[in-house]
Amino acid sequence: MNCMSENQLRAYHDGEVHAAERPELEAHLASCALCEKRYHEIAAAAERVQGQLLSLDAPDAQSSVDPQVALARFKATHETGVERDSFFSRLFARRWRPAWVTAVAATIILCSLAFPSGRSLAQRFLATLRVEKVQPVRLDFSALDGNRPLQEMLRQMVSDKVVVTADEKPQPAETATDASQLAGFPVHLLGARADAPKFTVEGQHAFHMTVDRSRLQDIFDQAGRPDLMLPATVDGAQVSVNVPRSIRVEYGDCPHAHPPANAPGTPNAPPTAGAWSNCVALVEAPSPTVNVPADLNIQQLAEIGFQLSGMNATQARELGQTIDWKSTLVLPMPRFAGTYSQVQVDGRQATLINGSGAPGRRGPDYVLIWVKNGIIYGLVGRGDSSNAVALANSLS
Amino acid sequence: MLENVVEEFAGRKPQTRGPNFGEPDLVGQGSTRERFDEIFVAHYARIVRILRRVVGNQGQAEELASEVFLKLYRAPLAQGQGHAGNLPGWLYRTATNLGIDALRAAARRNRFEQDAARDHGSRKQTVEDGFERTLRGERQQMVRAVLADLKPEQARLLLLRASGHSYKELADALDVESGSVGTLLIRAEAAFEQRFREIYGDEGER
Repeated sequence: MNCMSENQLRAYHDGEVHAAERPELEAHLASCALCEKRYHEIAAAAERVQGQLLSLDAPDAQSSVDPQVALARFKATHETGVERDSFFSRLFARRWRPAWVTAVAATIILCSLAFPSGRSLAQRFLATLRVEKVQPVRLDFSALDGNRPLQEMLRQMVSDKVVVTADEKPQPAETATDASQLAGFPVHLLGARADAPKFTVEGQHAFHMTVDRSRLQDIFDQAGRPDLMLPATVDGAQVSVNVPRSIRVEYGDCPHAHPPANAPGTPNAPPTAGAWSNCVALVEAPSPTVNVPADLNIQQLAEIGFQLSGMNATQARELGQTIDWKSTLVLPMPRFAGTYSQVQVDGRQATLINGSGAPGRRGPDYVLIWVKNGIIYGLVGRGDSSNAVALANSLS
Repeated sequence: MLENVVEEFAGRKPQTRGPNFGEPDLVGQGSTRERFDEIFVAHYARIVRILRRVVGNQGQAEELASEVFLKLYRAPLAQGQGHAGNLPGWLYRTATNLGIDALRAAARRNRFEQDAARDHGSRKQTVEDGFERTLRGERQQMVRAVLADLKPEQARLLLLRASGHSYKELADALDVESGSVGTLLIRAEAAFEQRFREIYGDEGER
């Protein structure tokens, strides 16, 4: 046999020669000093380089990657892109967000900022945040509205870091009983309205996200606030959020996202004068729950959030100190809002937001929000806002 | 839900679900859609492991791995076309391409930063870094710098071989004859060692 080629020598070393060829190659190597010498050179170089490449493994390289979890995350991010936009873009887009979603978003971002690391989530006790009362706060993030890179960074962070575990569609319900059964809590109706309402049960949404401190810091930098420094050791902690099913009870002729095919107008068309004047929509939503590590200083995080909205450190601190962060839903004033006031509904403090009354403005004339027995109620309508309190008090 | 009500009052269309929510056309129709899941589960962990070696960061490795599958997701390979018969090869080639691109980009940044530091005569940072970095980290940085400097096809070959790819898998991933893989490996290793010596001298050898 002639001397072995380099390719043969290397393949022999790697066990990549056909079994039938192996005995002959072995015999040749044993008898040919030249090939044997070259074989050892090749083998030594292979092992050196292999060793160098294997040294690239991190010390924790054994940490497992669960492909099923990764697949679920991938699908949540990409397969249901349309739906994710509908739910998650609300977290960060510029238009007014529902009180609880805003709070959830703010909580995620804020709570993500200051987790002490070094301990796994499983080793920590969790604190569960539930909404018991609502506090309106004027926050102005409009300076960030035109910041497209920032919006993209937020969108990408949500896309990468949020793992959706529940993302249900809304479902119509024929009757109050059906709606209650579907939602898992008894629906309340407005006794002052004699007409039959329509029911829609909004699906449950749940997700958790892993903190990525460097990306959050990048986002702060992009927001023009590199001075807001995050604690150095926040990576890897998790915040979980559950938004239970809620019910929308609709009275009268209301704007709707899905009008019948032969219905006049479209939901995109600006409302004409007097349109939907008899419409009142009541939203009943059990408080979302946000699980965070118990040792989290939410006030400190909230102050960072306030500063992002343009407050100075003193203002942020003063406002932060007035709020019980474990149970208060901080309600950023929507853009249509003119004024807000505290009123009483069913013996509880409620927030009544009035439209600005500006000519050509869009949006409802009022939104009334209150919390009772763990359910957040939102009453949205047109017309005189003083009717709102009477309507709300007729809840049965 | 409340925000939808307000949006509707404002005459804006709330975000709505697409008609095929949850049923996107993934990798063609029917069984090919199911195949995407199989492919993902079969290859994801290995791809992340390879990419972690390349970029040295678990999070970035997972992001790059997702990018690989996103390419597949967005441009599904039809049966009997393109790389459909060699899907694993396509996946690993794409993954190593992305990894090496990221590595080279990082190397360029590092080089720029090092040059800038040198231009300013700043030795302080070097000293501080020396304290902070572990020996292991330094060694990894050296290996990655050499990989970033190699011809991409040689870097890909070494990375995939180190992750246990057989000659057949290497040939599929790199689009070369399986009968020449041994020779290509020898050349790539020689190039790696030579470049290592050029950059770090004999001291760079263990």
